[in-house]
Amino acid sequence: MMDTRLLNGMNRTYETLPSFPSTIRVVHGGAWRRSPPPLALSEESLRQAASRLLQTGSGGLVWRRLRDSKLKSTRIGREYQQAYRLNVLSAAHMEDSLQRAFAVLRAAQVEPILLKGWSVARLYPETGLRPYGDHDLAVAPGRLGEALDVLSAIPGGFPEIDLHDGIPDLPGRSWAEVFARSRCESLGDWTVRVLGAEDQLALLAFHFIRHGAWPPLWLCDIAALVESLPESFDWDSISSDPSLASAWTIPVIRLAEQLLGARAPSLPANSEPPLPWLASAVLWRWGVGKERLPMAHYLRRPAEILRTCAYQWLDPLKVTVRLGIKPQRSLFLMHLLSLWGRPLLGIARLKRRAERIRDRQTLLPCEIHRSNAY
Amino acid sequence: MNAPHARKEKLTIRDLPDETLVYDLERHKAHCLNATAALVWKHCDGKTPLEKLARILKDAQNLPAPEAAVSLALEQLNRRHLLQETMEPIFGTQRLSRREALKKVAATAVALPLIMTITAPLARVNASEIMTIDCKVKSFPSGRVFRDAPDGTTCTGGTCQGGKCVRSGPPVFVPVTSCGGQPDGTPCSVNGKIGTCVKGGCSTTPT
Repeated sequence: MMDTRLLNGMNRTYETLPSFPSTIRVVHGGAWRRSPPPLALSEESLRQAASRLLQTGSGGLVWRRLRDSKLKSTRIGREYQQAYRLNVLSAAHMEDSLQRAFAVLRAAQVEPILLKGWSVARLYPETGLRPYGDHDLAVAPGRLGEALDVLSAIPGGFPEIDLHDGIPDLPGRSWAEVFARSRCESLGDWTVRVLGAEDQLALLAFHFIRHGAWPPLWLCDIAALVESLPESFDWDSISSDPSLASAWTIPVIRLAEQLLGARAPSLPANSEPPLPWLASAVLWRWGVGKERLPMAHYLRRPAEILRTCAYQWLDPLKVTVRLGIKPQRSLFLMHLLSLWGRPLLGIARLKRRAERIRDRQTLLPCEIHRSNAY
Repeated sequence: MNAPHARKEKLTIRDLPDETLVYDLERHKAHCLNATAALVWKHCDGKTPLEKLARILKDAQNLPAPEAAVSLALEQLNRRHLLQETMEPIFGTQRLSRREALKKVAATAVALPLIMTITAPLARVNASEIMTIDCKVKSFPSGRVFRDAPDGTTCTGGTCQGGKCVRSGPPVFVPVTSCGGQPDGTPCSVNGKIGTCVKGGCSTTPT
């Protein structure tokens, strides 16, 4: 298996330049379209944002918009080109493994559904624009053990595959309902079952929020999906789902319109207007990234301390996901809920940790790795 | 070597409009071949002699010194393990040094065969927040263990043996080219298509 750790080896920058959010908006705005608008950014802006853009998988998109400009032969242009080349090769390898996983599972009468990954990358006009590091395959509830047995029996295993028992991110929808809406898409000589647009949209929107609106490329995915929705898209499936996941669908579509210029189809008449605080919270996240900044950074910029504390401790996105509440229009109300909910969350987390330690002592001698790989 | 033969096994190859990308699954290295180098490489079928390779290059790119360009391309392909057997950088009876070859082709720098290598890192640890195979098949967040993963299962950075992860370098994920002696269901490849082994043969028919 190959990956792009090469890109992650670039010098990390802890700069939180005021221009970062706008650079990220410009880079991703319309980037999913067949003919994206020309990239109106200077070499310097692209250089400053390079570390962040490359680490979050947006290098291919940047290169596509640079390759017809005079910036293509600059040093920074070549960095983005390198990212694009690695994406292309990685996609080739990943497509092979996806075909094989489907072949093996289908041979055992297990029909999985692919979540995200290739199913999102295919929304872009060419390969190599949207990298992905794994394949999330959901199998019918209760068939996980069987699917694991089948995949584990293959020599070499399937390190790229993450199996899921049903679709935990869409708790309000039954497997039968989701499966009925799913469809098969061609991949080479094979077909791959992907989510229906109704479920894909809800899943991507909630996933983006659950990960704190990071990386920005995921909002680009949502914009690409929104612009490719079929005429027959069933908006009722979203409004009738009472879960938190579906509650975020319309606000995130509004966000993609607001920040990236996505052209959303006509939303249902009774849909909520944009949440007034959401765009600023997301732009703040795009400015500071996900890295924990060193104290020296704040000592150089004391003015940022208060703002960062306010967002870190009262991050409205974190609040809504962790407390399991639906997005509220009032930021004040969300902060109030956060202050009340935090101690309860802390207790719940301690309880979970104690359970995990107990389980690990009794059952899990091996190290557990978790990654937030996109 | 009068008729060089391009290596095709354990490589992932993708053609782009101006270049060809090659990922070496054995050495974990990515190479980028420009159009000239790719043209030479694609005609290295083990039957085409060097003289004919030079003619092909001359016809396609109108190079003034195609022999030197072929020599230069082969030398680079050889150095990057993209040929089946190692070769001496010779052309006919005349041995060209790399510098001489470069001098001859330099006049047409645009068509200079060029292979750029991007050293790709080792395989990434791949696990899920929800489900992971790390020698224990378990669910998250409950951590409930279903069972030990079978020996030989790829785990993070190695393979499982007796329910423990033994580090053994990056997992290499390559379908077998021959199903002889392989259990049914083993991923295989035939004529560039991916399939699974069924009764000793490679079946590429989707189920």
